[in-house]
Amino acid sequence: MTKHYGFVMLVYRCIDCKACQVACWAENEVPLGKSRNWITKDGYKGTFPNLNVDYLPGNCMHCANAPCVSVCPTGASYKREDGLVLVNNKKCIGCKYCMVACPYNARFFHPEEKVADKCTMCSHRLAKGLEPACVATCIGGARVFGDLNDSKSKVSQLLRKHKHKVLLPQQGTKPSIYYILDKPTEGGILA
Amino acid sequence: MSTPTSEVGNVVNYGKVSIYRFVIEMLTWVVPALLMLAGIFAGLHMFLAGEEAFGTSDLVPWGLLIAGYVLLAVTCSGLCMVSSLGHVLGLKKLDVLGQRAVLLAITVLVSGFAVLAVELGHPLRMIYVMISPNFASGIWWMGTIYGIYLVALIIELAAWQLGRYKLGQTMAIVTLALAIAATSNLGSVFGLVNARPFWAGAYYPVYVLLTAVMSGIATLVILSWFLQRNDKGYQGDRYRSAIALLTKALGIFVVLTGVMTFWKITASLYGGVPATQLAALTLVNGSLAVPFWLFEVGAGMIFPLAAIVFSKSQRINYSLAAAVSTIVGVIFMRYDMVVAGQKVSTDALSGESAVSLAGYLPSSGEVLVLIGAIGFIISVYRISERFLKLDH
Repeated sequence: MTKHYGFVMLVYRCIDCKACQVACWAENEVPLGKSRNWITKDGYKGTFPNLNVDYLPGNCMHCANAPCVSVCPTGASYKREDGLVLVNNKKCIGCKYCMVACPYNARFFHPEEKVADKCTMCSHRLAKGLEPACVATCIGGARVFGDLNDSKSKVSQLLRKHKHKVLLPQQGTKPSIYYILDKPTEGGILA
Repeated sequence: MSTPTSEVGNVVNYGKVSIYRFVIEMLTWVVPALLMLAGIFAGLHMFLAGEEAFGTSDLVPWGLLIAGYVLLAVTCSGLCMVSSLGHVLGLKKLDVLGQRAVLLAITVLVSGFAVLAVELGHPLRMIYVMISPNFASGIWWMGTIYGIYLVALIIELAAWQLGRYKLGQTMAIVTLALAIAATSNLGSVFGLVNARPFWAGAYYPVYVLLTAVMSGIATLVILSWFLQRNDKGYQGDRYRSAIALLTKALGIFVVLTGVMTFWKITASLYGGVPATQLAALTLVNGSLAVPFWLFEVGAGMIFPLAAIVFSKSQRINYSLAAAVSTIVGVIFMRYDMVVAGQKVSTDALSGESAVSLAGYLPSSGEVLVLIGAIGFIISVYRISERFLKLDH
């Protein structure tokens, strides 16, 4: 079976340290003021003084039904068999249609390359058998990466055991990034 | 011109009139040329400076230049569709504008492509549109059909110029079909984007087609007004007759556009979809309220309609005012359409929509490029007019 790479985000583990962003900037030489990944705040929950806030790590959803791929006039945006949605910079005309079509605002315009840029799941690191930089650096273990088609992978196990969701399911994009929002326990301890 | 006379009594000084006319004539050449040059320099600067020279951002990626491209491309289609009424459907009153409309359509479309080239990060890579096409992309279809359309327009004009009337007639039918296809495909570029609820759906392919005809009519009224201005003879009468007919048609299309706009806004406000409601609110009562009410509705609909109704389509100066006002309105229609659709973002977790904090104001470079495009159209059209026989 072919691989299908994806993320499972354990939201309760994210402490908003933004190390994932820094790692990505360093690894991928992301231009100043831009970012391929992000952390968003999911409001405040509870009543004072017992308030809680969730931080949601995010990046390109590497959708199975990616609108950015279908709108790209030159095929510069494409989907690999292993689930990665990538951009061939040499073919990108910089029309920004993919940016307009992405419901997650996951793309940005690279000011020097003049092309649409986004998370590549560190495909160059995957080729060497390494995890994406954001996963490798995540101090809380909030970003879990793996092969969604491999039933033994950590991501598959988490998704089998715990309630999860994808973002904007109504868009029909079938993202490869899943979120576990509650605090899952395994054998009495947090997963 | 008569011999200059002295400034005695009531004798008209033809010498001064002659100089005055010469200066005006020169200005009509120099001003558009300067505007074109300003646009070229702005375009070059933007090409070199990149993103910094644009008012756009990652949250509002499309701005005035996309709106300008839409404006110019669909005006080109509108010119073709309206002039086709003359030499395809046999509406004799519009026959007089046939070749001039085709020439103007070519000029307008080339300027549209130039504006788009400034917007694109890598215009030369457009070659990949042919090498590795993506048939699922709305932009692929729109760009390809407009490219073929430009070639077809050039063949049509060449056929008329070379006296190949049968070929010209055939190409007129081809260009009419291509104009309709290209324009509705341009609307679909917006209509197929599900991530932008204000655009998504079948509305924009139809709306863009309708307003293309409106801007085509308005442009032809302006062109006809200038052509009849110094011609009191038969040809001038033909232009004035065309203006009277076009003005009536303009009135009808302004009303239709008004009705479509009314229902778009009403459906968006009260249809129960938060994202479209918020986008409509930015037009009605938000950051786009001035462009919407003052220019899109005021200049684009109310003033032209008032001028047409008041003059009963019989006063050509009122027709000119209505047409110019319509064009001003159409510029803002395109701007409002492009920007309003991007002003609302949806929260990825909750699915709730909110007006984006990212604002958009066109940069001076973007404005200059669009002004330069107008200068290009006037300059190239007038130069071409001198070398071509357009009154056959």
